[in-house]
Amino acid sequence: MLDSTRIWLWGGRLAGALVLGFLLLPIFAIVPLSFNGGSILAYPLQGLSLKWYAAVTSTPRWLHAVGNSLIVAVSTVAIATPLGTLAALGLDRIQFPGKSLLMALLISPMIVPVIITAVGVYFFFAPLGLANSLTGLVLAHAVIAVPLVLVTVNASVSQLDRGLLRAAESLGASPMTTFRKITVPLILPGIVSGTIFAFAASFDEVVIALMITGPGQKTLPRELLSGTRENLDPTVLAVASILIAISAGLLLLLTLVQHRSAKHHT
Amino acid sequence: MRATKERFLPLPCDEPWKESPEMTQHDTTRTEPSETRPIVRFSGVSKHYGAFRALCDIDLEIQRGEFLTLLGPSGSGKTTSLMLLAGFDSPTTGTIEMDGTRIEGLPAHKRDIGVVFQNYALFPHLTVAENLAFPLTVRRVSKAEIGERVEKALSLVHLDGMGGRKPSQLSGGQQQRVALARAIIFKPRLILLDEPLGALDKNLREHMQAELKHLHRQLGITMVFVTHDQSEALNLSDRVAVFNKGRLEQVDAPELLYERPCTPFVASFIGENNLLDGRVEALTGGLAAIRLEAGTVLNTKVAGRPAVGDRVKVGIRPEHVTVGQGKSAFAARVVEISYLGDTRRVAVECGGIGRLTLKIPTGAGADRVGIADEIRVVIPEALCRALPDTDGA
Repeated sequence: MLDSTRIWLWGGRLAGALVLGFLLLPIFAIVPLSFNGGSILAYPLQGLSLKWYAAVTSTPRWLHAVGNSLIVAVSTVAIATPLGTLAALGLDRIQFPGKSLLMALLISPMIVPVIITAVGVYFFFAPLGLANSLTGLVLAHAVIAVPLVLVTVNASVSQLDRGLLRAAESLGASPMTTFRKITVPLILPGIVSGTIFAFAASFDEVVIALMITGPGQKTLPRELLSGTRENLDPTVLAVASILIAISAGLLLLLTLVQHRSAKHHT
Repeated sequence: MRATKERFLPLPCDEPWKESPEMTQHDTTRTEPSETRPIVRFSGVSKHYGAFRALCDIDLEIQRGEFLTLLGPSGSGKTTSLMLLAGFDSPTTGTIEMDGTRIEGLPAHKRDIGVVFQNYALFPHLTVAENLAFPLTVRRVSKAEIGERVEKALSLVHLDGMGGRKPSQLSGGQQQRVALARAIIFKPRLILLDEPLGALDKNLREHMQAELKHLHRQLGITMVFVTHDQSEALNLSDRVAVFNKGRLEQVDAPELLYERPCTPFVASFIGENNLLDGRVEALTGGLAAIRLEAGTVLNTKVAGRPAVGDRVKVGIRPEHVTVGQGKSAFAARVVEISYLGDTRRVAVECGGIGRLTLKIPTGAGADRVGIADEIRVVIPEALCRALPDTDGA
């Protein structure tokens, strides 16, 4: 006999499995096709081959796009991580009226539709000569990446035991030493998570890239988009698979970091 | 003797009022702070948080090498005083001097004061040895010396071989010892302990009290200990400072606090006490004739300098009131009995006195009293103390 709790339990599991399947099936559909021996984007596969991956590595426009994406993502992280971390620390330390308003303002790029940010950034950057430049793209990406760092670091900082900072002070450590030796190591998992999020946000971003970049600054997602529109061959799928692998790798790294920080706190 | 204010101008060599033989022998030591001068002095220290007065006009001297306990209920100002001394907060008014130098504005990391926190505050990302090395590293002590001193400190608190562990791998008692060792290792000028034994169970707490006492004797370092536990305070301290509602009620040795309390609060906070309302009727020598509200006149010792007509509370310890006969005995009726093992606590309604609590040792013969029994109790007037009734004023 099934009692109602068990029905709910199995019903819940079924629903969960369906949602997961819905989310993951497109990905699982794409990855095998990138190893297709033929050039048609359809099952069944016509033999296995790595030739589309070879095509990616030998095509200058893909390599150029990968290079651009890496430059932009790394530069974005280099700007967003320090800014987001300092903002989180500052907002945590000081109490002042309008603090939650400032916090809301800082994380608003996360909530505002990206297309709005993109259009705004375009009209702001164009007269400054920042449109059609990687610098402009990096700055725009930093705007959407800072909130991600701010939120994750803020979570770490709020867990930080104030007593530890006082203890360090009483033991003779100056505020700077306390920051370096106690604060930073303890909130490092938050900083690393924020960095990963910021990197992924920039690396996957396409809307702002479409608005800001010209033909000379195409990033990987943007090249992917034009690839699917212009000449749809399995090279696009190979690129997509590489992106999926990178994202999965970052996610794994994130889980590892969070696992380690959980061990710290117990 | 000079005026107090002049004595503590920051001119340590100008100290002619206390010529210790040591100082006359070595002229170079004259710049060193005198061994007999208090290490810390609070003068008129107040701390307000908005409208809340956490501390009111505290004057307190901490003697070099003593074990001083700040005792009081929660919110009495004891922890605030400790925080002011540690440098985590600064007084609203008043001055704090350490070795004759004002330190109100000195940041905590420049004070050279070891602090043991209530929740230990060990750095979770560092090993025990790294925790102990921290204060030495920031003082740029050499690596070799750090290793040596960490070993020594570990063995001082009986944690030999535990240096490689993380704090999370230690028991509460062990973490406590690490915190203590970390506060001692850099040879601070004094050590502050903020209810460090509060989180430990009773047996461990008593054990740690004994170790703390031993450590204090061994190192001869000044320790300032905060607690709300009066038995802990009496057991550990050379002197106890009793706080109540942001005010310092009395600072004295444990025996004096118990035997000669100066205020009704101290009389009832340290141990048990019967406090009887009354008025001063006459003063002769050191004694006062107090007319209790219930009518009887008692000739008691007095605390402070009451005037005739002042309201007082007469304190008499439950263990001093005895069951007995004699012309000075008062008729009383038993209203409540609690059996405590070694004693019986008996509450009686006493004619002309009021309600009294007695402690009768088990097996003393007079312990077989029952509820509603009519007995006679003796109040030894020599052990009564008339205390200024500050609450009624």
